Amino acid sequence: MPRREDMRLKLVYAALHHVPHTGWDDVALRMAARDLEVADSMSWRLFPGGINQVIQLWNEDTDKKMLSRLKKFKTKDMRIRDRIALAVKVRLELLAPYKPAATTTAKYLALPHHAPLGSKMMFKTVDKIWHWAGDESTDYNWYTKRGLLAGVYSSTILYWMNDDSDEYAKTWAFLDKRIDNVMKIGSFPAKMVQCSKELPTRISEIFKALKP
Amino acid sequence: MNSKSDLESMIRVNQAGEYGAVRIYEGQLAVLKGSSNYDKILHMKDQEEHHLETFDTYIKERRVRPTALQPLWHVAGYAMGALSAALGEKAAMACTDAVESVIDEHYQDQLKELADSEPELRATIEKFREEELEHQALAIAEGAHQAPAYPVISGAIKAATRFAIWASKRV
Repeated sequence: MPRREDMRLKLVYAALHHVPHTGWDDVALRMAARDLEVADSMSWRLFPGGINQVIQLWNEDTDKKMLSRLKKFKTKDMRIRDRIALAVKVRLELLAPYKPAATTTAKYLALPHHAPLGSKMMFKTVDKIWHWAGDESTDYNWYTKRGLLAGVYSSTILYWMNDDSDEYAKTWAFLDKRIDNVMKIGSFPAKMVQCSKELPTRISEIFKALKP
Repeated sequence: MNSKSDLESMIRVNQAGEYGAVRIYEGQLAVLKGSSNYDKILHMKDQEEHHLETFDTYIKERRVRPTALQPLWHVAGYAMGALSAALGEKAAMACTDAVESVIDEHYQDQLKELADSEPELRATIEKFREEELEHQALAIAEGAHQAPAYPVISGAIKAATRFAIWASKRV
């Protein structure tokens, strides 16, 4: 790894220890720089985009680690829903050592002016999960799948933040239930589309009837 | 050109366009069952299906977001095909002539934009463009220009097709 990239990641993870106390602001980055015994200015030289860039890199790095962990599983005989549950579980396990920082981040991203950043990162994560799970849709399913997973993932992570059960057993049960729900309403968009698919056939039947 | 997002938008609009083309021919075939042009239209539809499969593969392999307007093209394409065919076989051919002439311009623009990059995609577009031109030639031979109110039909369909291209590049 190039030295600059290495340093960037070090600074991210050093900052994560301070964030729960300072919130996501420059103080956390300065303290992280001090922990690493580099000049304060290092943080803005490595992250000219500021805090948001730091959060994005943490998110990307977590995605990368998630995918490399997921590669070790044999998914051939796994149902799609189990693959999705596994990916969400692996990702939350990667966040577990930084749970307080993850909670602070969720609050930060909940602010209206941070919504674009939050949804951009969420999209990247669910897109990677679906790709890993073998999704090959090239139509509207591409959207419903990603949208539904974003809902499952965000509600699960919020549940997880307040879960103090042993090894997050309650969270994994919650996750399963959420996926159950989605599978049930999954038939709703499908029905709507089915209806719109039949519509043109009906129209053409009318035309045929009108033809002399 | 040739930032990643330009290329993605190119693949997105082409997949959407071929999807729409398949739907137009399906709409025509539904109305023109038993007509003398049925087999010719069927042949054109088969070629469009092959084009669509090819761009589906590009979407999957390059992880391009497909257009969100697909359900709209599903209905609008079919309706345009069925409507034109309901106006008569020559009107159906006028529809093909108009759509394919806009697609030809569109593919030419893309080839210009690609210049020497992406040789494989270029070759695909070149081949598909030739087939679209064959469809147009066939439509003219089958009397597209003799359709009732030809300038009106042709103008409206060209405008609709250009709008669909514009929208599918973006959404």
